[in-house]
Amino acid sequence: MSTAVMPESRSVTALAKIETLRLAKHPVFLVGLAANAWFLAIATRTIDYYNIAIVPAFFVGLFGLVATFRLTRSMEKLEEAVGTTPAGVQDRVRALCLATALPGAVGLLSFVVVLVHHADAPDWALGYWSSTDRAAIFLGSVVVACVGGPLLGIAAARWLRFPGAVVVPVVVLLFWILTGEGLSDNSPQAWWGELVRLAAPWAQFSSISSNEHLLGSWTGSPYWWSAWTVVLCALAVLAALMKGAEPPDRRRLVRVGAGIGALGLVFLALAMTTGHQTAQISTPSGVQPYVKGLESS
Amino acid sequence: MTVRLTGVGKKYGRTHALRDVDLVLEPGVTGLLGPNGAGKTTLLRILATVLPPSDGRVRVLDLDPADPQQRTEVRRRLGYLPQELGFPSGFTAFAFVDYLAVLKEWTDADARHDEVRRVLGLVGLADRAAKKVKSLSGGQRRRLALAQALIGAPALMLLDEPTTGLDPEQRASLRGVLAEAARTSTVLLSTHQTEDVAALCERVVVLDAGRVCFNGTVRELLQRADGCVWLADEPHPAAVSSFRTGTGRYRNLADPAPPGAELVEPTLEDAYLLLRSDAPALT
Repeated sequence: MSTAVMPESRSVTALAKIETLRLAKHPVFLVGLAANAWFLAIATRTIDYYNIAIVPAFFVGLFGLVATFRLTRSMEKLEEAVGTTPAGVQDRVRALCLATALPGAVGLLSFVVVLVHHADAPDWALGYWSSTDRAAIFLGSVVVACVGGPLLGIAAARWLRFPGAVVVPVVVLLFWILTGEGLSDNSPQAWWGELVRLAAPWAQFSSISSNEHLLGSWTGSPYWWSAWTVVLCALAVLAALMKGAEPPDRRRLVRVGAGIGALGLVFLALAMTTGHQTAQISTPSGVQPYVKGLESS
Repeated sequence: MTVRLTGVGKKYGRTHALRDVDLVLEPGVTGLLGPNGAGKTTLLRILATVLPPSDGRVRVLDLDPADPQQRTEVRRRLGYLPQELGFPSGFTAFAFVDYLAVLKEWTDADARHDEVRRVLGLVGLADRAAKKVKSLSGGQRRRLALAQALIGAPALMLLDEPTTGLDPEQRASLRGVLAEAARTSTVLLSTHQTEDVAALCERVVVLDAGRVCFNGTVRELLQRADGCVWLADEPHPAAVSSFRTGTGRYRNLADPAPPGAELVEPTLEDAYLLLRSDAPALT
């Protein structure tokens, strides 16, 4: 076999337009959009300035994951015909990845809404994060999450081919994130809790107690963490493209993936070792050490 | 010469799906006959660049499909109808063909939409363009599947059982479409319908157990059954095929016919069955 790399066809842009439209009409995505608008409107009336990021990450990111998973799999029965076109399956995957610009745009709008909401926040409710720190936090936990979920959906759909497979990335993602949050809340200064939390595709840096009188702020650098989440998105794209790629293409993707992965590990290490290194709890009357369990403090 | 196969073989594990196939396809319609498991679909999938051969050399449209760039060029000039084509949910007939046209690099929307309307018209689905695919009948879906293979009047069309599920009128209509397409294209038509081959094809290839057991004109295949079909009052014990006709007499197929038998004109199916009866191993 030749070692030449499969050329990209001329169809990617046109395909991306169609796939974007299909995503925009997908019932799961539409429900997610409506829920995002509804719950963002509710959240902006509260004093909760950080947990609000859950709303777009969940309703756009996670619902988007399910929608793109289904869109990717929707052509499975047609794969033999698609595979014999000049564009082929690989260009369709590229087009699907480009279509995640749509949830990305929704994430960007949600990001603006979140930052506007922060304009009238009392100082204690923002913790020790500066305005640029917060921009980095929400860039990762809102904008990148809205793109990353759908990208993970595409990658998972390429590799997981059994009925109900969409549940796997959803459960893994939720388990990973909740474990990280739980470990960090119980042991805010422990490196392992910080590692699980910051390595996750979605993380919090501050969280308010249920009575809305205590704000716990965890350790780490939101800048490097956001860079780490971008790396995870790139790895999802590479994973999606790797399935079914020609051997020379696959070797190239593995090389690129290894390079990006190594860079990501550097970002993750920097996210853990730079930024604020002492967790704290803020209240309207001052700050106190964050030792264990926000709700029990 | 559109297609040249030299010593092509394909193995799935230890099973030989194709063995030492030498074949040349020229413009026009070539019928591909053979029993289930003879290797017809494997042959089409190799030509359609879905599968690489295990052995031998394949040239399609003077290009080498083993080379990724040349493979893309082959695909630009290929129309392929797989044996089973599923349809994604939510598409209308128009949107389905339009999607495939985009994959075939019809990126200009106006030209693409004109082409989609043209191919839907060819398969008699112009008035069903706005209908959801799931609301179409089985025959209409098969025609829709064929429509995508006609996009851009490809130089090579590989059709795996295109007339399955069609009623006689639809089949007659599709024969017209394929005959017209074959004026400028090379069409390889894999089918179990010998009537389609007799009606459409200049040449016929018969595969058996992965090997080519006949490659010639339809007339040459028919000649093999000359003098082998006759009518009698009783079924012939050594007949390859024997059945009671509507007149109450038995139509027997055997080589040779007994002396003095009332011979009738053989069909391509007779010739095919006779050829198959000579095959060393029927699968």
